[in-house]
This record gives sequence, C-alpha cells and structure tokens, in this order.
Amino acid sequence: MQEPTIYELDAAVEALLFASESPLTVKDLSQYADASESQIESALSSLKERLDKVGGLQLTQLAGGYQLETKQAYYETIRDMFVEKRSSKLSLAALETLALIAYKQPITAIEIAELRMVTSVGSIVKNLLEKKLVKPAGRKKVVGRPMMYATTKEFLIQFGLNHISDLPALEDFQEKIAEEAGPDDEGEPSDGLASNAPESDSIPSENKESP
Amino acid sequence: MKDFALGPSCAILAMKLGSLWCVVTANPHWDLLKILHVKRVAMSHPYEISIEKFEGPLDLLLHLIRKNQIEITDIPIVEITHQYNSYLDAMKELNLNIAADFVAMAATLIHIKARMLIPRNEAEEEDPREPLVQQLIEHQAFKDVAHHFHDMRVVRQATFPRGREVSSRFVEDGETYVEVGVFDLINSFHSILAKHVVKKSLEFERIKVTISEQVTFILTKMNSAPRITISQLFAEFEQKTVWIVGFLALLEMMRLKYVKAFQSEPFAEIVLVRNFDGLSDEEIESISGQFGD
Repeated sequence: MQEPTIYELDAAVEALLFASESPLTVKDLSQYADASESQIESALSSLKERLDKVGGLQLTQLAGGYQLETKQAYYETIRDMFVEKRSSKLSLAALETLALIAYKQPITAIEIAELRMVTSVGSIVKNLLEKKLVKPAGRKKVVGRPMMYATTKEFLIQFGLNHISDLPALEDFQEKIAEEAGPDDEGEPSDGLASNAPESDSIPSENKESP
Repeated sequence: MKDFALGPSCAILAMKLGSLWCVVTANPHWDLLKILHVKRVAMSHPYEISIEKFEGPLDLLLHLIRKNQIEITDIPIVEITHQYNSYLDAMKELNLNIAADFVAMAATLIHIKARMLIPRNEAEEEDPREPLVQQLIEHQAFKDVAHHFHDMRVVRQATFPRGREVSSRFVEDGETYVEVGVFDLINSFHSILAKHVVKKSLEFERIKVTISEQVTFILTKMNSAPRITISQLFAEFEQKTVWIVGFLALLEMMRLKYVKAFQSEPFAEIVLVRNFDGLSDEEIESISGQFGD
C-alpha cells in the first residue's frame, strides 16, 4: 500500500472525525489512519486551518480528543431542526453542586451537603448521575465507606472542556468576591459591632434588588 | 394567618408581621426553603413580591449581606445576627420546621458576636468572623462558578456535533408541529380522559372490546382523515374501558409506525398523523389480525 502523503492524511483524519459521533484522540486517529502521532498532529492543524477558511464545520478540541462540529454562525439555521429536550436543563442548585464536585472531586454526598450547609443533596446528585455528568468514584475509607463522586467525560463534552484542569481557577472567583467586598477601604475596618446597615426593625425589610 | 394557593407543589402561607406581609413557601423537604417578601407599595400595586430561594443558612446570610449592601469581609455581626434571628422567628411563627443547619448557624453567629465583645489583641488573634467570612466567600464563589458553568454550556450548545436525531415536523396555520414520543402521548391521554369521559353508570355491563377491533377502528378512521386530534379520534367512545383499549391500540400503531404523534407546544393537544397512504379493507384486516382478541 502506498504511504499516505501529508495532504491525504489530513483528508483521512477529516473522514475519521466525520464518521465518529464522539471525540477521537490523537492516539485513536494514529491507530486508524496508520500514521505517527506527530503526523496526525500536523494533519489536524492543517485540517483546522482549512476548515477555518471554508465550509460550515469547525474542528474542536474536547475531552482530550478532537471532534467536528458545526460553526457557531449556523446555530440559528440548525436549531429548529431539533426539539430541545426539557430534561436537559439544569437548575442553579444542580449547577452549584456540579461545580462543587468538579473542583473538589472525588467528594462524598455528605461532604457536599456540609459545604453547601444543606441537609441533603441526594436528589440533586441522583439527577446529575442520571444525566451522566458525574459518576461514582470509589468509596471513601472512613466509617460507613460512603460513595465518592467525580465528573465524567460527558461533563467535559457538555461544558466544552478539553481537560478537567481547563476549569477556571476557583481562587480567581474567590479573589474577585473579596476584592468587590472592599475596593475602597476607608480607614479602620469596623469592629463589626456598629450597625452600618439600614435600620430594619421588622422583617422582611426593603428588598430592592432585582429578581 | 391566611392560606394562598400558588403553585401545585408547594404550600404557601402568608402572615402579617408589623406593617408588612411575609409569605413563606416550603416544599416538603425542608432543604429548599423559600421566602417571599411581600411589601405594600401602593394601592394600585398593593404587593411587590420578590422571590428568594434559600438553600441553607449560607444562602440566607448571603442574601442579608447583599440586601444590606454590606462588605462580605466586614460583616456588622450584631445587625446581621438580629436580622438572621428575625427570619428564624418568622419561620417559627409559621410553625415551619427549621432545619438544624439554620439553628446551628444562629448559634455560630451569637458565638461570634460574644467573642467580638471580648477585647482581643488584634495583632495576634484572628478576627472571630474570619472562618465564617471564608465560608461565605467560598459559597459565593461556587454560586458564581455555577453561573459561569451555565454560560459555558450555552456556548457549547451553539455548535452541533454529529449524531443527533432530527425530529420530524410540519407547519400548519403558522404553527409548527413537532413529533413527540409516547410519554407526551400518555400525559395528553390522562388529561383528555379526565375531560371527556362523562358517562357514569351504576349498571354493570360487560363491555367487550378488543385491541384488534380498535386497531381496525383507528385505521379506518384515519384512512379518511389523515390528520386528526386524539379527542376527535375517540369522540364516539363513552366508556372508560373503550378509551383505554383504544389508547393501547394507538400505542401499537405508533410502535409499528402506522401513526405518528405531533404537538405544537408543550401540553397542547396531540395531533395524530397517519404514516400510510390509504389502506384497503383487506390490508386493515390483516394488520388488525395480528393482535388477536
């Protein structure tokens, strides 16, 4: 068989990605296209370059692999072809729990409940398990051996991450909150005993924030 | 105290506290505590309502901090403790179960308040509020991350990978009808059954109806009417038994892809569309023959 040239290899990679419904890794591609990983990588970059210039598809890095998908510009065109599944929506509470699992994994349901200071998170975790966004990740070696949870490949795919380490740093969010709290510290910090809050004798008091 | 009916899944209670109305809703699991504030604004708009959902004491504290426009790192502990306890009192007044976490937080706040009153060496000792502040910042951070996650997902949903099944559809009178599955059909069946079956009888009679007969009925009816709503299709049926057997026959027809179900919007009436071009009587008979008696 004739050794594929670089140009043909990039077409072969494109064909493989088109045929696959889930992201393919460089290793997968090198195995199927019978080429070295460095050849695959250069084929991927020339494919990406070509797709960026023409056509309705783009090459996306996702969950440690590559995937062909439609360009964002054609969202409105494509959207109507599918019915949005009502079940695919996630509540804010579910997203908060998912965020906790993503940053603190592996983590048990009880630890999640403690961090969120709520009595139970069982139903939310069950919901995330059903949506395949989290998975059991062994049992913690403490009394009762509770189940620990971690995020899945499906989580990376649905949230457009290549690797779990691509999550924005949690510290950035925390620093932003602390900064917003005191951008202009005027003199001494209060002792926390003086009431600098508006007077409110009865509850509920004025509630002016937007819903 | 007054009861309101507002939403099917939660109990709502309203009570007057001072000059203000307070409405508290609770679902059966107390981990989702919702407090609504109702404020008398003007006669034309007697109530201004805003809904705040507190999932645990940290949520309530963050709400109080936001509402009072306090800096999270410098909480006026006396005022916040006072307001926090007022909420708890309001819950007690309403005879609502207060989750242990809420009570534990009240104790923590009072403990911090007491320690603030004791003179301390500021250089050596930690601010008594510090652990709570860290907890609040972390909680708020995860709330922000949740919003960020939501945005990430929205961006992702703007591009489409391969492998999604295209839902079939048609447009009629400006309404787009989208194909629905068996579960939507079952939901719709329940509501129609509740509305249409009116004949109540104390006489017991043996109703003999088979799936096979109903298949014949559906196919014959749709032979002349390619598009029909469920209630039109079943309009002649009076007894519940006949309805149910008819529905079973309809499910069989959907399974065998003789009929497809469409809906213009959630909870709208289901429209059935035939997936065959006119059948002869013999063909109908051979289809219904598959189902025996």
